[in-house]
Amino acid sequence: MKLPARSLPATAPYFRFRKLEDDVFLVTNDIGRYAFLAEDELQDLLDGEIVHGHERFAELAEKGFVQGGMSADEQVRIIARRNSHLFTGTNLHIMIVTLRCDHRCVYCHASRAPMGTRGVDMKPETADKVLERAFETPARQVTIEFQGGEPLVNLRVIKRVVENAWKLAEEKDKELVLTLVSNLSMLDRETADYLADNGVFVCTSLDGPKELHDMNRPLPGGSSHDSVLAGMEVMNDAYRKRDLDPRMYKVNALLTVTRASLDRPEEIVDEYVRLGLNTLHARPLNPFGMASRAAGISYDADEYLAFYKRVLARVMEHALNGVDIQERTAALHLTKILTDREPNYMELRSPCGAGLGQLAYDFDGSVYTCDEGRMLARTGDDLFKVGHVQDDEYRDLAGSPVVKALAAASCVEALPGCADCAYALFCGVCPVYNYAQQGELVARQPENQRCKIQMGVLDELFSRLQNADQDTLSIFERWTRPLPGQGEGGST
Amino acid sequence: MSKSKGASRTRFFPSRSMVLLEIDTDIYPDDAVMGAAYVFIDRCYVRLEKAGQDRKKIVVRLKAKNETGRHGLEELAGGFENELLHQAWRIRLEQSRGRLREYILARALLTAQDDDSEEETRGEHIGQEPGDYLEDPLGIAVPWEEKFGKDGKGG
Amino acid sequence: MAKSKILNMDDSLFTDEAIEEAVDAFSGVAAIRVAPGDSGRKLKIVSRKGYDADLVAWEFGNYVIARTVEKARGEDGDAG
Repeated sequence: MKLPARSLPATAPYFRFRKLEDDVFLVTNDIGRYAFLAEDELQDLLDGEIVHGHERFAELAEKGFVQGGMSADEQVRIIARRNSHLFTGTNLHIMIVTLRCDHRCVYCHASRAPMGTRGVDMKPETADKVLERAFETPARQVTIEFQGGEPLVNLRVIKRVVENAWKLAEEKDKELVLTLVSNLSMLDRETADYLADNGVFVCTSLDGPKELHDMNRPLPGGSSHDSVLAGMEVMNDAYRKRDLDPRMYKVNALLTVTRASLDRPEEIVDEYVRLGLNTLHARPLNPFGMASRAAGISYDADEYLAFYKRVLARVMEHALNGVDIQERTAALHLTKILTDREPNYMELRSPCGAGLGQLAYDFDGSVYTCDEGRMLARTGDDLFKVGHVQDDEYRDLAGSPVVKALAAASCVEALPGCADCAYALFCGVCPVYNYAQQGELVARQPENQRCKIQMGVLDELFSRLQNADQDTLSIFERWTRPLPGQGEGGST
Repeated sequence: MSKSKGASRTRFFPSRSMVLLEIDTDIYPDDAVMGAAYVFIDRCYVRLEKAGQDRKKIVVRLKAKNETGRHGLEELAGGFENELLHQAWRIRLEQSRGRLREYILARALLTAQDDDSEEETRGEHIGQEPGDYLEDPLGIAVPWEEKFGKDGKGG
Repeated sequence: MAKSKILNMDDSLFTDEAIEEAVDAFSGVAAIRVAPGDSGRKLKIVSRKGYDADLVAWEFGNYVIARTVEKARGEDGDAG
């Protein structure tokens, strides 16, 4: 295809494009609309020849690719909607209530401490300060996410926070979301009742069938798979007994992918379906914390993508057969592709959520831009520490120079490799990942594994959208509906 | 011992674990060279000197922190050239897109510093209900005469 | 092992402030004399305590690059 020697005609607003396959080009624009064009149609668009009478005029005008369809006011409204996260403030507050954990997961992102370790539980007075800081946010919704280690090890502090958080939410007229990320091995009926009574959402980890799960997540003296299944049953039972909306109140799970998972995607999906889980969130290993040192479990982006495509295909197969299941990575991207709603998922927004969307509070009161920054600190690099709950108010934490640097480094609209990428509006970068992998906040995208994975996932989604029948589109549209407490404005 | 590659000329000195690149600043501005040097100081020693007519070239010496052979030096030089490209592109993007980025950041940082009442207003009008803010509920866009009558005292 | 080393620091690349900071930071390992050069400053680095002046000069150079870039980016990083 020849590129025009002259400058673009005035009728062609700015757009980005990507060749998906022979004679299929994806074009996207700044209001998040997309279209698939043949090569000659793309040439027409570049030449300003898509005008009244052209076969593609109606569609491309309606989508804002050429003038004569959508008004400027409407485009402004769409841009405002798509950037709503710029107006909401820090809503996600991750509390590391302990570093202790009974599991010995091969990839432990959280860099756990053995159960006998002393001095790694969050003290009640530190927890009170965390809550004070969290409620200083201007955000109308406050999400407190309990993480660890295994957070149930420090149930006493969780209960204290839950009770105080509900009081503060009422006092300050905030909407409160409470989430617990747990391996569930310590969940008994009494705790489950307590969590359900207090409207706490629960998210766990499930890596697949028993043998695979137990290999990834060794639990000394027992089977992690057995305990997570029992925990899910107890928790879901507690939700059911209280007649809570099962679309919202149901344990969901994260799938961490190791080398051992790569050739078993169908079995993993089938296990999720067998257990009645409605969401499967596939996540590649990250280079933080202990995962970076784990030998023999990692893989490259191409291997992950081959796995991911098979996971998505299997999930779709089940969904088309009427099973209520979604793949969460796809769902988050599709929300950005098919709607103007910003799901406010921290890793997929621009700028990223570091400090401005989330803060992570370590057990000792140290505050980090995000959980990724905290995990990196566990390996000795505290570059992403923004302060301490005792000394710094929310304004100081969110206004820290570190937060500003990360925001500048994650604004995809002005990043090399991103600004002109067709997927810019549906994607996001993680400067902490870039720093861990490439030594700099701004990625060299062509060599960046995370970028390669995101591009591959989006290629797959657009390829499916291009060939989608009505049933597939209905499923995709259903996946874009918000799931409160399950990743909307959260990290899970 | 030397090769010419695009905008730079490279010479290898394996016995000194060093490689020398001559960069044309018409192609890679000083700031791109400095930016690339900054990225490389954790993996090698970097020395920069201006050279040539009108000081239009920058001589970059990269010295490995541990002894290395030709292959290691080639990797170092190649990596540096890739980084140069990345830095130069960043500078260009900053010129064309820097203001957009500044606006986005200013908005996000201001929100983080706002108190509740301000956030509520913005959240309602732009964040959650973005359709409303063009409706001019306060009548700001209504001409003075129309709003208050010709005498400006209301009406 | 070299006892002393001459370094040219071009003023279109490095700021005075960064060089002064580096001179101060390295005062424990070397005596550094700064004089005007052809296009900036000429530094004579004389190592102390048996340090290799060559190595000190390389470390010194890295330090000046780091401080120049960090100052230019306003200390707070400006996107890395």
